[in-house]
Amino acid sequence: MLTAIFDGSLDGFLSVIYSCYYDKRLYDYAYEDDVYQRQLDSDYFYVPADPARSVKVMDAIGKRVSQGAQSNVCYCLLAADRERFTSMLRYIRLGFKTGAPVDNYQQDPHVLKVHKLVRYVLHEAHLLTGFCRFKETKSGVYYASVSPVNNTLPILAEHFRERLMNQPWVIHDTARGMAAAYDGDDYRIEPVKNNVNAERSEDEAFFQELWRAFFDAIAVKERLNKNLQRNLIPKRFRKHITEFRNED
Amino acid sequence: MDLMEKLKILSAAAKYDVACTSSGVNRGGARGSLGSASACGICHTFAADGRCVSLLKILMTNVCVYDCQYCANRRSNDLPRASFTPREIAELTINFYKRNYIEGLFLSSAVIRDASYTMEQIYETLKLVRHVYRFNGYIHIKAIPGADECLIRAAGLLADRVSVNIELPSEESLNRLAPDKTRESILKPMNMLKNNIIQSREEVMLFHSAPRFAPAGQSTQMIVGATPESDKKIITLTENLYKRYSLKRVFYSAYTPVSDNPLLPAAKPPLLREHRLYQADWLLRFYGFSADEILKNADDNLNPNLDPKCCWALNNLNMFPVEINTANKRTLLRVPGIGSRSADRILAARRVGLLTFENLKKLGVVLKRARYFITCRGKMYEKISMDPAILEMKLTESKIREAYKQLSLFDEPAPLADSGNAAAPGGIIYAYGHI
Repeated sequence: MLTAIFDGSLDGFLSVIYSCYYDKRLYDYAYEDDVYQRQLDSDYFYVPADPARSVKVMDAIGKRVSQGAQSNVCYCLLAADRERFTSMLRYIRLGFKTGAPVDNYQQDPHVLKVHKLVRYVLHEAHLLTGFCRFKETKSGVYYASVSPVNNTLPILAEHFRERLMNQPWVIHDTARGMAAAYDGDDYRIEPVKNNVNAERSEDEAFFQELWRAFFDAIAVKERLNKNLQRNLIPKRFRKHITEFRNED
Repeated sequence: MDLMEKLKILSAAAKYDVACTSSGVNRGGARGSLGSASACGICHTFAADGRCVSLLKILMTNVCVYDCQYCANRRSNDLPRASFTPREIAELTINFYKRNYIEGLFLSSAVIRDASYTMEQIYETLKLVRHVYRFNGYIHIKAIPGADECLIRAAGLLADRVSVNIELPSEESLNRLAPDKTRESILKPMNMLKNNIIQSREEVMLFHSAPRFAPAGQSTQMIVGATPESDKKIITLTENLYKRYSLKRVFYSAYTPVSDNPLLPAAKPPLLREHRLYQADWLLRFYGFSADEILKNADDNLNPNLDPKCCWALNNLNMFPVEINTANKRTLLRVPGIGSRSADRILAARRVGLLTFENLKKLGVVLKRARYFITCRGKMYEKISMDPAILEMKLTESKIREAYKQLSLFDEPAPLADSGNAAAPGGIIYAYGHI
């Protein structure tokens, strides 16, 4: 059994694939160095991230496998699953053998797992495009906090750059201590401290009250169905959502 | 009256409207304007009744000249009344949107003064929201039957989706409960919308910048359970609406008692019936079924214990079992437990290898239902009898099956059947449980 250990970045992962073919070491497993625990029956190598190699491999995936596989790798990287790199590695190795039809091999557990993780990431990001709630702060910046399971911040930032093009905003992932900040032109994703001072503007409380009033009035009392509500908007999202909090 | 009070009254007045979808149109953001639209639709929250809230769903006013018995805003109902000004609606929409509370605006209205005046108010609001506030998000409006066509057309050019409520499933019911409305007056604007949508599509194909009329199409809704129509009648009507008026969606709304009029039932809203109707609606739109296949006779109703696809399969057992590794997509879609996504996955996966039951489970096929209707490499999942009665019992959802309780020693003794087999109703059925 051959294991690759690397820094957990996209460059690092693609360098592992490069090393598979050019160092003639066909790895069976790939792990981020933080989470890897040494196994008795496994040889392991540390593979350093190399941007030049990573570009070559990404290119090759696009040309010799498919563009779909390229985006699958990128989305899968955002998932919160420590086995994801192993599945991605096997997926890409199979992809270089089969070419574009690799996505048909759903009988293969690794292909299935990659697809599953991509779906999970995209689905959570989709939910958050609806569940994310901005607050207007004194400085005029709109601030939202989220704490998703997967690292959905890059997808959210793309979505809100289109949508809220003319207002500066910050989306703060409190689970990872990262934030996407948009200044009216472009956004950056950077690590931030978790105690952010976001004092709300004067109008903010009024609109929150209006929204809560709307939210209560729109429910049909005769159809009350809290179970359904809980299935559709799980409790883990609610701590950030205006209408499920008493004050902000 | 302050804004808070108005919002409470006018959103409570709009809550019985069912459509809250924001789907059907993709529009990127634009410099200088606020918002975008996403074709898949985005739900922003879910109310305590479990219904999705994606749009700011409000009425322009709940002051109504009509007296439709099924409607909470009817003239004769004693209710606090209020009206929004266009500017108030625009402010609410923009400020909610900036905080990502909503995906857009759903603007409907009771009929104040007359239909054209109401439509004009809606149009004025849209003009303000789109042109002055530069709102680029999703807007769904109601076309008021009887309003001037120019007004509906002008409003439709600013909205994404336009809908006309068909209200009730038949003309007799409409005459009985909504004396101010006729079937003609409802179908006329629907037809006009349809023609405008087709015309606009063709123009956009020729000139990319041609104005788009209701790019997300038109929809409608009807109340079920307030009047005696059978499910077959409702599904046939739905099918005709999809075919003749090329609607995007038909919504059903289980009647919630809002009146003590003896013409209307006082029972709880028939939620399960509504659910079954939506399942049948999906079969019409995505699974290639026709209304006549789902229900045969004019008075038939959908089976509350089984979903419509299972019912169809049980009535057509001669078409099963289906071999997963060879059947075409049309056939796969008709198997209970296989949806359009799992059908696509099956088609993709079997290009590179034969599928087993184990694979199917992982691809998302619901084997609990599908197992009775499919073979993999020529083999059934298990040995079962193809007797429709037994299958029906096995397919009945477990929650409902619990109604057939195990016999208790302490209950009233049930009369024994002649054959000497088990006794009470349900007892017999339960005995087959593990065949």
